[in-house]
Amino acid sequence: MGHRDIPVLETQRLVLRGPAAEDYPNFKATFASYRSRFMGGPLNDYEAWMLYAAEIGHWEVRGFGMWMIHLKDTDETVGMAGGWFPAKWPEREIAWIIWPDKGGKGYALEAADRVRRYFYHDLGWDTAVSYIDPKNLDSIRLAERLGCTKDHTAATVDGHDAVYRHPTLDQLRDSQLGHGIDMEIAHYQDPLFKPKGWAID
Amino acid sequence: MVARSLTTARLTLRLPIASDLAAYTAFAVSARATSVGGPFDEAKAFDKLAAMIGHWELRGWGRYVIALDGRPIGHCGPLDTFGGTPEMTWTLWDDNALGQGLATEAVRAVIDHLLTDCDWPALKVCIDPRNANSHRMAARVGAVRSDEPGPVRWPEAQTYYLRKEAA
Repeated sequence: MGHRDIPVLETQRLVLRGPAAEDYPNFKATFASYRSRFMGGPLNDYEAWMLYAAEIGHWEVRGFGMWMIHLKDTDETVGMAGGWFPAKWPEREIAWIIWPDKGGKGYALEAADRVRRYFYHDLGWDTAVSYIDPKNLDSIRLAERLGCTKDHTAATVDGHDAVYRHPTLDQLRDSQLGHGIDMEIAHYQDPLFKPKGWAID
Repeated sequence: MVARSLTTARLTLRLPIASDLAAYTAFAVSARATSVGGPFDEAKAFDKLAAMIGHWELRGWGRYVIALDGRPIGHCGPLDTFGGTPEMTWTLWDDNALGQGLATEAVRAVIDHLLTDCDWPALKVCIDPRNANSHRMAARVGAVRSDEPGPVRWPEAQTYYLRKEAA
């Protein structure tokens, strides 16, 4: 599958599409900011552009990659989510980043849940991990809300990251875990619902 | 409209694809990559080839992979990460491909296509001051030395310009 054939995924609030040229300014702003400190940033102009181009090329090389997350209502982008498996990565990763001013609305949860369904159902993945900096508490919280557990025995990318193992399709199907994730996403989707506690992804 | 493939007497120039990764990585981790900012590790090589592919999607043009009898032996073509005058780049990946005029054949075809067929006004060239082979190539294809400093990522590079009237 090439980059021109990146599938479009939908959720109630979101449309996930392949990264496009017009979406670059938001990506660049995020990767120039402190927000990107756990994803290899902040990056200079050249590094940010090359990484964005590589996000697209990853689709061509691996047949999957990162989607740009758009809001259905306005089409604006709020971040990226998808699969990431560059050279030397021990396993296929489910990754996400939300633009600094778009956090706290459950977009990463809704998008990561959707791409995980795609990888399990459409691509037949039987497992996935997320590599997270131990200081990145927002992402660790999100991984836990997605049902991930820390895998102490799995190989890390560079020894500075923790491996969070995603639940399998069987563990998610018709289970308390799966229903809990669905319910949290539904609560974010419902404008009348005011989430209690954390809202930090 | 920039062509997505070009052919010369001996070569096919085409878009980079996934199966180029092994040949590109072998070059990128080798000492030959010193003149283009390397050697790089395997992870960086993956990122760079992926970026070469993504460049085509973002700009509608980019660097071609040079194929000889179906085998990828290098890349050449324009690069633009910021806007402004695109940079013309060339690199042979394969030692065995050196010394036969293959790079010159590919570079001439791309320059001719961009400046003549596509009517681009100019191309910039940035070369490591110690890379004698590449400086000879620049002279062969009519590039004119410039006093302009290299790009921010590579300030010590010697710059040249290729212009339509010289082509």
